[in-house]
Amino acid sequence: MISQDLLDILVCPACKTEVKLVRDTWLVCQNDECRRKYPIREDIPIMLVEEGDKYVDVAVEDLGTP
Amino acid sequence: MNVKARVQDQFGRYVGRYVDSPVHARGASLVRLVELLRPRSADCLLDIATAAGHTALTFAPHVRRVVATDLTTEALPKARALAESRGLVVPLLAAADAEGLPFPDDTFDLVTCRLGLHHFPHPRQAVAEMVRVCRPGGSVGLVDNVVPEDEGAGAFINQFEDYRDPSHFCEHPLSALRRFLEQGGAQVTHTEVEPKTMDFVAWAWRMGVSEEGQAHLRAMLDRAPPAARASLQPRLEEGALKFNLLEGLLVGVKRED
Repeated sequence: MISQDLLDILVCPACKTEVKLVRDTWLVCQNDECRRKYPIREDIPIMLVEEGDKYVDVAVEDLGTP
Repeated sequence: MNVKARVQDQFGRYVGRYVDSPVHARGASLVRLVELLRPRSADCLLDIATAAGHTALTFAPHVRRVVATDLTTEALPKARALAESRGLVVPLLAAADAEGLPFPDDTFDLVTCRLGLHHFPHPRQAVAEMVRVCRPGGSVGLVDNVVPEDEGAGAFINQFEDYRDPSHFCEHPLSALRRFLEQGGAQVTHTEVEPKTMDFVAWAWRMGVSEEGQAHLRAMLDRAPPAARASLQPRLEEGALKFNLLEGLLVGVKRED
């Protein structure tokens, strides 16, 4: 489980907008023009732009298990 | 493969060898960083390019919270395991690119980056990010291998390091690191450079250099031009090949304006 302390300070590395935790396994950028989504693996968020790029066109409800 | 992918590939394979590396785990600059940054119990610290977590874990007992990041996702479980093995609070971990950090402005009291900058293709941008996420009046502690100000010597030492480690990008002279901090918005309050003795075989082994590659590197040391040789000082100690690398340490305080 990702720490709330970490969640409180993480932002999207591309646009610096806040991110929202989804199903405990994804961090979704809240900027509608960015739409990057960052997976959490082994409780470690992968906050890399190229990782977020992979899921720009994936709807939040279609995100699978990272 | 670009340099960041090479870093991820190279460190993904060899980060385990850095857990017990004397230079990384017990280097003098760890103690100096703590002395110079003077962490307080209420501080929140960010350690960038944490690798096996040595710097993050050195500061952990002194501060309220440590966040540790690395470009190489495989490194972070190593840092977690090392913290657990020492009975320390595990830092908050995130995979992140130093050149585009996933934190708001002015988040941390202290920011450290030890022995990572020479892997970054855009070090000026990375240092600017370190300063950006540090609060005004907070400190950025930067440690990295540096090369002599003599351009020829610096170029040779970078060729030598490149051959050993494909993820190596560039070691800079101290003056460049100072400039990166100043241009990023920090006032440099302290600099120092110390030579550190490297054991050739252990240094090559950490990056998985072949026997043939080691022979090439030994030949490079033998024919180093005078200015590079004066810095590297290759020598035999009890039959083992040793040489020096220079380690620079800088502290920058984020300007309040």
